[in-house]
Amino acid sequence: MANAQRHGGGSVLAVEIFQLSKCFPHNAGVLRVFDSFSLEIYRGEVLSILGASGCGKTTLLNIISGTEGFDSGVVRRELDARIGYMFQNDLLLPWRDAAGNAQLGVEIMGTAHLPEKRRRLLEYFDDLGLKGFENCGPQQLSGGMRQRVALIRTLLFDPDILLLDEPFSSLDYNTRLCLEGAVLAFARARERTVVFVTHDIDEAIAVGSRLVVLDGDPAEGRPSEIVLARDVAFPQDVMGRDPIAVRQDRRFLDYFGEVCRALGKG
Amino acid sequence: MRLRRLACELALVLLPAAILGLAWELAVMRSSRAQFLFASPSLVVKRLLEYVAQGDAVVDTWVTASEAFVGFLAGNAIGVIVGIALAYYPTVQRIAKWYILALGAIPIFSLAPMMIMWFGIGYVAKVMMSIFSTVLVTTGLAYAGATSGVEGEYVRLLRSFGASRQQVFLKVVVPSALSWVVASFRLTVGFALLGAFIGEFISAERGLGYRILRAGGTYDTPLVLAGITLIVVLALLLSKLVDLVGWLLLRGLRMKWVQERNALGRMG
Repeated sequence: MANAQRHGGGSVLAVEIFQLSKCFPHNAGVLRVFDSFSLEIYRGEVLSILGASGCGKTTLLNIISGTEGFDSGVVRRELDARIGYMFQNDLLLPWRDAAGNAQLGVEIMGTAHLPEKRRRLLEYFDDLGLKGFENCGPQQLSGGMRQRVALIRTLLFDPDILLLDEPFSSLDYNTRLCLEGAVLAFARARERTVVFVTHDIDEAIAVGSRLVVLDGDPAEGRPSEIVLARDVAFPQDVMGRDPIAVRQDRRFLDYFGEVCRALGKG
Repeated sequence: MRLRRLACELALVLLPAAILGLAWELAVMRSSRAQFLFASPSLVVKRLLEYVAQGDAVVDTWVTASEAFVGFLAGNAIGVIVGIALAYYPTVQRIAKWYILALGAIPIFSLAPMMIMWFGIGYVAKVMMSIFSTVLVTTGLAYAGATSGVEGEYVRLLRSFGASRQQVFLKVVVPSALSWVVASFRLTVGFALLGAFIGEFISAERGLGYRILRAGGTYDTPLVLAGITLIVVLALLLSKLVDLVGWLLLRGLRMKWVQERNALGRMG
């Protein structure tokens, strides 16, 4: 993986999935989502996973996060890796204010009282344009602000592996660019691994240092498999990826075309 | 300017009452028979002032208020505990729900004779009636609140942070149940008042329910209506009081008020 190394992804495995099989009971029979599925995720890389709805992207993240079991195969994570999982839904607790929601993860970890965490929390609120909203309830925040609070909650937890399940799909374009930037900055500054699931081709290319396209239709008896896996590199990456700049790069369109063909749309 | 708008608003609100009162007054003016049956605003006000001057009004209102308030507090406390416990033990809930449905089907009136046999005709019986009248509602609310977060993705979120079962319970289940219960305080205090009132209606020596029943027995229509007026005032005051209780409680627990769960909140 020479390319992965170039984009901050090392050669150390963060997650190794080997010969994974997973079925769901479905009506009378079973829905076979994965059959001998293998995927390696390297430390420090940002892996975008693309695929049609229902092809098992969320199931894959659940399995990586350990919140869901599987039938056979091996899933190995870095020892003691802390997992941060961010969902499509912001899942803010309505009875907590923004700051209280943001510190939920560290509170569970038992480090919320540390001055360093407190300082970081306020920094994130500043950086993501939420200054002054710390004590607002979720009902007083817009959708974009809520998802930003959810992102702070995840980043403050300081995960080694960040799992993102289409977290920005319901946001306006501006907010989305801002949050993509925040995720990339976090991953780069701390050499953290990011697994970014989306069905937005554009976003997958702009964010990922590697891109995997899944294809399959478990409902039709066709388990998901990887139909395209490739590194995504832009000249500007040396300085840190800017999700706006790369969208203007001419390579962007090449990647776009390639992904579309893999998805059977080109 | 703001004061003028407020005065305007108040005048608008009072206008229908004034028109109705005036029509009522005029309609019964010429007939003593009609005045006997329907009283009149002036008679009600006169009787109310007498009632207050005798000192009975304050005592009766205070008695009913304290019965309802104590019943409200106890009913909510029991309801929260039982509701959360049922959420924690699904098997018990599966069995208990039939009993709760059965208890809920009992008209609260029908319990009054037993309450009197067991607890006498004093204060305790009324409080018990008030508790009975609230507790099933709060149990249902607490259970709904406690389970709403659990079935959803909140648990998956907390699990992804490595939360234990106890942490899920303390950070999602309990606050969720409380937020539902507190948001419905205005609703449940109405039930508490109803319970206390019915208790007094059956048998008592003091209280607004007792006074209204007695007044009815002696064809003292103005006093019945004066009593009802006080009940209305009391109900409004109690709903303000429980707003304050809820506010203090949430503040003490550093929780936010969750408005969307309160159907009555929409009306101010």
